[in-house]
Amino acid sequence: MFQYEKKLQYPVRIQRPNPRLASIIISQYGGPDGELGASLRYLSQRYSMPFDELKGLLTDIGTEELGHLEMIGAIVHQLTRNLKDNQFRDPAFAPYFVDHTVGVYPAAAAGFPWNAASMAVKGDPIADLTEDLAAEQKARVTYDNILRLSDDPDVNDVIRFLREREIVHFQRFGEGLQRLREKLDQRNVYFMNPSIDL
Amino acid sequence: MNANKNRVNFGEGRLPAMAPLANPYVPFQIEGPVRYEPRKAMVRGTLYPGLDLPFMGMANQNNLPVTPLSEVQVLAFAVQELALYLDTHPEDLEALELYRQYQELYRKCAQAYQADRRPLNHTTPGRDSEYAWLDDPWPWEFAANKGE
Repeated sequence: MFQYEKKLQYPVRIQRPNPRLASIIISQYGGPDGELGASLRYLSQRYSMPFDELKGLLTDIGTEELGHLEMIGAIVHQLTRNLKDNQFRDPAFAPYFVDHTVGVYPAAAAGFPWNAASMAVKGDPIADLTEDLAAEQKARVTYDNILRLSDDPDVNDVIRFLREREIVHFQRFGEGLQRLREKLDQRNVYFMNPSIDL
Repeated sequence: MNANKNRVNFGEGRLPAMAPLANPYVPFQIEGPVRYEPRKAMVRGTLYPGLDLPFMGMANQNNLPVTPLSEVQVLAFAVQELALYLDTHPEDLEALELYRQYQELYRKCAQAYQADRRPLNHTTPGRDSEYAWLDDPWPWEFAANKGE
């Protein structure tokens, strides 16, 4: 089960509200390569994983991603606190504001709501772990792009932490894939699907 | 906890000698990798200098305020990094020992933090007759993170 831990994984302290930036950062909450999709991808893929180290890895990384979802929510919340009337009218923020006010809603920066089609659960461990490697890279690039677009040092501090986590997760998924391969037929690792044929 | 005992392993990985074709490979982090001390690890986002690969050279500086909360976060982060490492390196006994040491440090630190009416979860025993769980601020609020 999941139990709430009343702390963030890493501190989020954004001194200056900036709704324009919030409307970009929201993509890592509910965009195609965001933390909601990451957590649901890994926590859903683990059921068909055949070996203990893969069940553990997907559980541990999927749980950490839930913590990152909370951190992104905290950034968006703090960037939109105590806004003045003219800040609501910022043309970059007004389209979000009209539907969600300053609530935190899982949507991409381009406005479309979070969609399960942005993730996959194939039910084959090589396919799913390869998807996970790509997912970590896509999330890393999104954080790179946020660093290009943001000049707020308080935001960038947190974004750099989250970006680095994607690199560590990529490494661990790659190692998980190698441990899986070592247990398969070396002449043909695609001989069968270890999720259902072992 | 000699963090730099295995300096030779900085940033090095191992690929399989004979690898099946048509497969994606990530080099395996070799055992006993060089580590940051835990506070620097959290600031950088990884315990391992070999995995610390910042964008355009922009790396976080060590300006994390030392607060009771950040002490808890730093130790929880070290435990998390070692947990992910052990998920794929369960045979690394040195890492396992370090994981246990950080678990124990975390346990003591979290206990001290919570003794001051700041429960981390609902299983924390309360010290007084008040229901401290609802006390402000909540983790996502600025006031919870401003470092006082």
